[in-house]
Amino acid sequence: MDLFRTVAVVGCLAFSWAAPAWAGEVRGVVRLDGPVPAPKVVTVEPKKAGDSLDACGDHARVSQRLVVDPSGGVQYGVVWLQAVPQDGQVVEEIAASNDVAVLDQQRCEFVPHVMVMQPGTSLVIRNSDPVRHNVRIFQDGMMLMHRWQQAKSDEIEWRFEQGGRYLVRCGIHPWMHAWVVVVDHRYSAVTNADGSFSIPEVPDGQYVLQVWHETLGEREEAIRVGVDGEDVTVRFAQGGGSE
Amino acid sequence: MRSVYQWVKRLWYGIGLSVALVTLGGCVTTGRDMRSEDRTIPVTVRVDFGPAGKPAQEAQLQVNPGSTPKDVVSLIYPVQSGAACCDSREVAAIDGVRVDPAQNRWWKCRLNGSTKVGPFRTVLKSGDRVEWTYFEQSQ
Repeated sequence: MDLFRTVAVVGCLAFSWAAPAWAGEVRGVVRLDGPVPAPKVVTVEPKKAGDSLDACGDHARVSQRLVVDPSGGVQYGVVWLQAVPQDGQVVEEIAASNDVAVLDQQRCEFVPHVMVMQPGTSLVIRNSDPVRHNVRIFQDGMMLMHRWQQAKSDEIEWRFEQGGRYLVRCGIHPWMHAWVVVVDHRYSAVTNADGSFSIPEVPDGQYVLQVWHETLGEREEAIRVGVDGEDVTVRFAQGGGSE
Repeated sequence: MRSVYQWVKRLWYGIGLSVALVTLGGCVTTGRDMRSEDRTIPVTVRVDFGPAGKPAQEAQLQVNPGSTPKDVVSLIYPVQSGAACCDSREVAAIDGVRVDPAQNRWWKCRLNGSTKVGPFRTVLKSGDRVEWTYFEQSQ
């Protein structure tokens, strides 16, 4: 009887996970109101005077901290859903992940600049550059990890067990940094170059849409997702940054 | 009777001499302690808070032999330790101004103009100049 019950529950879960008839897509865009800020050029200088940066390339380096397209769309915003309790239940799926995400170092830049992943996901840090890097991971100003990585050497693997925002930096090339945001479920996205995002297969319900951007700060919007999904625009005001 | 008197007199002289020697010895020891204080070395320390917006401070101090740049700045400001890079003994904050990896703001130490210094390891010499600078790097 117990076995039957277990099989039935697992079967229902599998069915609901594979094809939730009530799931909708949350689509939207993150915008910055007002004039579009000019791209900021990064001043590239070695940490130690006299060190060569030739291996990093001589291209002009534009800051990735605030990238806004002509229509005001903000790239590299992190968007995720926080469920609102319904009928005493919290519609939130905690998923243990065995996924692997790759953060590469190319021409002395971390690629991609912003990632979102689930707890348990392994972050593989690769060095495709012909120069060594010094990878450091910070959370709330505290350093969690510090490793040298020689040119095109073995990858570094780091597992994020808890949700939160993590900053990855190179200790040799001061401009190099990336953000890894760990969210307790799969309902999350990073905004594209035009500020757009999409979170597919969201179960019907009420949510709070959370947005975080490294220079603009945080916003949240209450949304209701039905079978047709939901369109939402999140706006940031000029000068309302944080961090 | 007279010899007894002479003997007691000598005894008192002996006691008096002993007390005088002990007292003199104590004074000499105290003098040594005072001279150890005189053995402190003069150093100059400057703290520049840069983008944090606080006014810079410079002080000339007498510090104990064996002091490090971190010890010296601790004499004029509260200092917090923490791993900004590689070691939990590093300076993470001076007077509440913390390293901020997100803003790319850090504390840098110079000794006589050189960055080749271990802030919690290098032993200072007489006349050294220590500079702590809070700075922000482009990103």
